[in-house]
This record gives sequence, C-alpha cells and structure tokens, in this order.
Amino acid sequence: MIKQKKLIVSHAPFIHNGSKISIKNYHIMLAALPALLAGIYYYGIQAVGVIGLSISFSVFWELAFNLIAKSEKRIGDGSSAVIGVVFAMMLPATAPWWIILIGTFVAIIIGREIFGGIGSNPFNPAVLGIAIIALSWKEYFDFNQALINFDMDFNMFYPLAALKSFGASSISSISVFDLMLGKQAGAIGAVFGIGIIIGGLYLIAKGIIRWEICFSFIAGIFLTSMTFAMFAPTTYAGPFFHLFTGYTLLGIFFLSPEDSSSPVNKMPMILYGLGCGILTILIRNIGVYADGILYAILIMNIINPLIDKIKPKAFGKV
Amino acid sequence: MLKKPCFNLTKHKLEYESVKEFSSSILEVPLSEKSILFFDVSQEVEIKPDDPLSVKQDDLLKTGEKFLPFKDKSSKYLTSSVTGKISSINTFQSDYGKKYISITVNKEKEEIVCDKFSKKSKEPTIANASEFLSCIPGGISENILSNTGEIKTLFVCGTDNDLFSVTNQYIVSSKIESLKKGIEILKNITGIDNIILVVNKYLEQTALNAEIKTEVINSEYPSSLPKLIVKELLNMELPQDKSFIDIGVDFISAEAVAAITQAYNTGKVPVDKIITFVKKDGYKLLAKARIGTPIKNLCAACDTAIDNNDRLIIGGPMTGSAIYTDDYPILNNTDAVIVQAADNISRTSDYPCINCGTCVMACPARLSVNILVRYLEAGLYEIADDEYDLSACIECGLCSYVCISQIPIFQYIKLGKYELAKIKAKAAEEVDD
Repeated sequence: MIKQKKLIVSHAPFIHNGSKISIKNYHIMLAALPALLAGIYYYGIQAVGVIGLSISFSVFWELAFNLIAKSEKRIGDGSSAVIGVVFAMMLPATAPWWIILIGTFVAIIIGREIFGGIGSNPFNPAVLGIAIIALSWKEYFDFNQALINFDMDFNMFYPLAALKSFGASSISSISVFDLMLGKQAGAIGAVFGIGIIIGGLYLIAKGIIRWEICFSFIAGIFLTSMTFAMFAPTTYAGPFFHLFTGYTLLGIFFLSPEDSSSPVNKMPMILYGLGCGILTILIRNIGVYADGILYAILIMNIINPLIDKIKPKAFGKV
Repeated sequence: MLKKPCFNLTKHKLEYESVKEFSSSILEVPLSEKSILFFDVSQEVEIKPDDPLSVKQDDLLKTGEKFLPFKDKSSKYLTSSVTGKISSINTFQSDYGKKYISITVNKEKEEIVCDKFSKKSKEPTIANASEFLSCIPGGISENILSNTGEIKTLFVCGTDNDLFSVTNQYIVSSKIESLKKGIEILKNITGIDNIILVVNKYLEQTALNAEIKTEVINSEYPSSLPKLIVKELLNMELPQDKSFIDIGVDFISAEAVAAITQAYNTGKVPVDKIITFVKKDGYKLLAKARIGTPIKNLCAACDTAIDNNDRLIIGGPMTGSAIYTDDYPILNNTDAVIVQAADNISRTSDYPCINCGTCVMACPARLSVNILVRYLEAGLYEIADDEYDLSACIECGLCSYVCISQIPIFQYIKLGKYELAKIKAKAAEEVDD
C-alpha cells in the first residue's frame, strides 16, 4: 500500500480576519475602564469590592451552569466578565454582596444561559439582572438613601429623583458640566459622563458597537425631551440633563448595542435606537420610575426580532 | 466590497493582488512521468457509472490530440496534454457531487504533436474552434463556441476571481498583443461585437496603450466575481431566476483569449497553464505547467514539501477548494495553488452566532446572513431560500472570513444550495410521475 499523506480538508474560505469573541470582550472591558476608575475615585474601596464581586459572581454562575448542564466551558471568552462589568457599573457603591450574587444569577442564568447561552439571549442580561433586583429591593437603588454616608465636596443627590419629585426648578442649579464630571449621586459606572463617552467612541471606532444605534438613541432622547420641555418647561427637564443623568449614557453605549438583543440591519438599528430614546423619556416624564432606561431597553429588546425583519432587498431579487 | 463600517479605523479592505509585485520570471514545471486528465461527468446525465469508455488502457495519445471518452453518449471531448499511453482509468469523486473520470497517461520518450488541428485551422472559424479548442487553458464556455447569437456582450476577464491569484493579470501585462489579436479572432468567428476587456486599476494603462476596448473595475475583493462585474459595468443585478446568457452576457478569461491566438498562430492546441503558486510562507510565484501535471510535481518544482496535516488549496483562498491528495492534477481552470502549513491553518469553531452583524455588513448580496445561518444550521433549506434568499448568495465567502464566531457560514450556504437543488429536482420528478 502506498503511504498517502494526510492533508487537512476543509471548506473555503481558507483565511480569516482574525477577529475573536474574547478580543472583542476585552475591548469592551477596556472601554468601561474610564467610567469605572472615576467611580472608584468617587466612592473608594467599596466600589472596587462591588466591581470585583460582580465580575467574579458572573463568571462563577456561568461556570456553575456549564458544570451542571455538562456543556462546553467558555468562561475564557470574557462574555460573562463583560456582563459582570456592565452590571457593576449600574450598582450603587453600597450594594451588599447578596444583591450582587442574586443579580448576577438573574443576569447570567435567567438572562442568558437558559435561553441557550451566548448569542441566544433575547434581553441584555445585565439590564434584566438590574431591572429585577431594582424592582425587588427598591431601597438599595434609591441613590439618595444608599449613598447617604458619602461626604463629597459637591451637592450629593440623585438628580432624576429630584426632577421626579420637585420638577425642573429643583435641578436648575445643576450645571451640565458638573453632571458630565460625575458630580452627582448615582451608580458606580454611570456618573462620569465624559468617561462613558470616551469608552463609547472607542468602541464605535473599533467597530464593536454600531454608531447607528447610539446616535439614533441620542436623537430619540433629544426629540422627545425637547418636545416635553417646550410645552411645560417648569415640569420637564431639557435634553442635556437627561443625557447626563441616570443610566442614559451607559444605556446608549454599553446596554442597548449589546449584540444578541439588538438588530443588525441599518434601518432597524435606527428604529431600535430611536425607540429606546423615546421610551426612556416617556417613562421618565410620564411613568412612575425616575429612570426609565432599563425598561425602555428591555421593551425594545422584545421588539428587536420584529423590526429586524425590515431588511434590504437581496441581490437580484425581483 | 468589504464595506467599512463608519469610523472603523482598524479593519482593512481586501485588495486584489497586483501582478506588478511579482518577479517577471516564470517557473517552468518539467513534464511529469504521469499526467492525469480529468473528464467531468457530473453534468452528463446520459452517462451511467458502468458505461464503457471509448478509450482503453495502452491506447496511445498524442500531444494536443482530442478524444471522446464516451463516443456514443456525449460529444464532449478531452485534449491530451502529453504524448503517452493510458496506464489506468478511474473515477474520482469531488465535493458537492462532482464526478470525474480520471485518465492517467504515462509519458512516452518522444513527444508527437497531433496535426489534425493544424490541417483544419488555416483560417479561424467557429467550426474548428469548437471542434478543437474547448479544453484550452482558462476554459471557454459552450455558449461562445455554439455561436447561437444570444451573446451581446462578452467580458474578457483580465482580473482574477479570487485573492492571491494573478494568472489573468499576468496575461494582460505580458501578452497584451496576443490578447488583442485573440479578441479580433473572437469577434470575427462569433460575431459578438461588444467584447470588453475587464481590468483593475493596476493594468489600466497597459490595456489603454494597446487600444483595446477596456473597462476598469474596483480592485477590492469581490468586485471581479462575474455577477458583480455585471453590476458594476452594466449597472444591473442579474435577476435570480435568470442566467447570464438570458441577459446576453458571457465571460472568458484573458488566458483563454491569449490561448486562442496561440492556437491559430502555431497550429497547435495550447496545453500549458499559467498558475499562481503560493508557498507555505506566503511567497507567491508564477509557474507554467502542462494541464494534467499532478500538484505534487508542481510543488516539487516550486521547492515546497507537502507534509502531513498541511492544507492544499486549488483556486483562491476565499472560494477555492481543499483537496485530499496531491495526486490531483492541474486542470484548465486551476488559476492558483496554495499550500498552507499545518500550524498556519485557520479553523472554524462550534461557537453559536452572537448576532454581531459583521457578516450582514460585509455581504455584497445584502443577505440577512445572521438569520440565514440559523435556518441552515437547522437544515431548513426551503425556508432559508423562501424567506432569507439563500439563492441570492453570490458565493464570495466574505461572511465566513469576517465571522467573529468562526462559523463556517459559507460551507452552510454551499451545502444549503446543493441540498435545495436536490429537493427541487426531487419535487420536479414527482410532478413528472
């Protein structure tokens, strides 16, 4: 018998552009750093504890699920770690450990793994996790209450709550620039607006998140809040206030463009972003919640498969 | 065509190779002891597996001699590229149901050139072209040779379909006169008036200097795939239910046109193929070999050893096919041969689609690849076609190239098309019954 060489046979293409899920996720974590570092600067070692716990619990839950379900272990790709990072960004620095444990369980197991793991989640897992624990333990997400023991050199209060209770006059003393610098009470990664914008632009430049979603989100917020402010300027705040308070910037650059729960075609991406923006302001201005962005994103996540059916006509189709 | 996402500074475009970066010398591959001729029987419905061949072992073939492997069933012929005796006849199965009859010819000491063509080819006519020239290097379509008058525009591709390859560009840059004459011959014998040379920007000046009717196309992959050439130059997308001949368009490679000129100049049927050879370290060179030369002889001539677990690719890196044996011969349409070392092979993974949408952005056919691949993974080929336009795919392979989950999307699509064709054929059969 002639000795035959064994060659590798596979299908075209035989080259690849080298992109990897792990690289992508590390870039997202890198982009989150400026906002997180500012949070640590403001809230100190407690914030480090919350971030660390959130990341490790997320990875732990995925690993635990993999072991129970006997599925392939993929914690190395960093997708759970990214959920952990984004989850921590939305927490107050005073969040107790058990809230983080339960929240990451909801995010990883209920938000993602039971739907089939990475790529199959209908909702942004981190948003789902935060939404559920914010509904269950309201007091920890009342940022004025939660952060009462922090003594800062600026007026420490949660602007959205003030707006909700006392109208636009109560926030007239706050300058937008102070909000951008993070001089407000809020979640660890959500207060330092400039940092989030830098991270978001970095992700857009890298092609990791889509500018269509981010910019139409901003457009939606501007359109709706300006309309409200035009008719009742004493009750409703202007667009810049909405942009730099609460989870808004986080929602624009880190929550809404999440791969699996956002559309991929051009027109749907714009509709999705607009919808998120409009709903956010509607909930903030008319609804009962001070910050409506989590529910806006969850609702748009549900609609995503529907609007993503708007697709261009295929090549040569008559 | 890989569309750059807005602001995306990091991803580069896929540009076609330029022949100008190659050394001008061309490596001549010596004649091998054994040559293998492939006769494609996958399209021949008349031919059954156990039909007797019209040739048998120990028959003598001359260089350039044409013979009909299935005289009674098919008028398709093969041209022998060497002088020698047939040593064995086998069948060879390739991917997607392709079947070949492989005829191995042992080289004789003395080469005899068959003179039937030179006797009949004093003047170029469509009759002698279709009688002798259908197997020339580069290939020529039956529609051109049957001369039915349906073709209004003939594109001479001076570009290469796939990346890495520069075979056709080489012909334009080095044999422009013979290309010009070939176009004249084609005009005369087929009566097609509108013959256009298609080049990319690297060779625009060369073509213009020779005063050939030329169009320049984009130099980014996959602009020189036939459907995209039609889209760019005729400003129309080929409708899904039509073929090129329906809209009066056909293609011929620059190499084939040059071969036609060579045939009528010398009175011999051309049997030498120009191949772009890519070594394991990525070094590219041009080689000239007889059609039928086994790939292993080509590799040996190019100083490349094939080891276990290497990958041997026929055609380009995006659309070619990997072969499982280095006994595979050079065919008349083998423009490039690529060798990849075992540790340099990009692999696919079993990660699921994460819905990032990079493939949707890259797709020149505007498919919703992210949803399509889910249906294909589940084997729902008919829904994939009805709702997600499986058959609109132009087979460029960009989706797999950019896939962050490294899903073999292109393989799913090709398999899907193949299975869909089988389903449709079966349905048509049932209707007939």
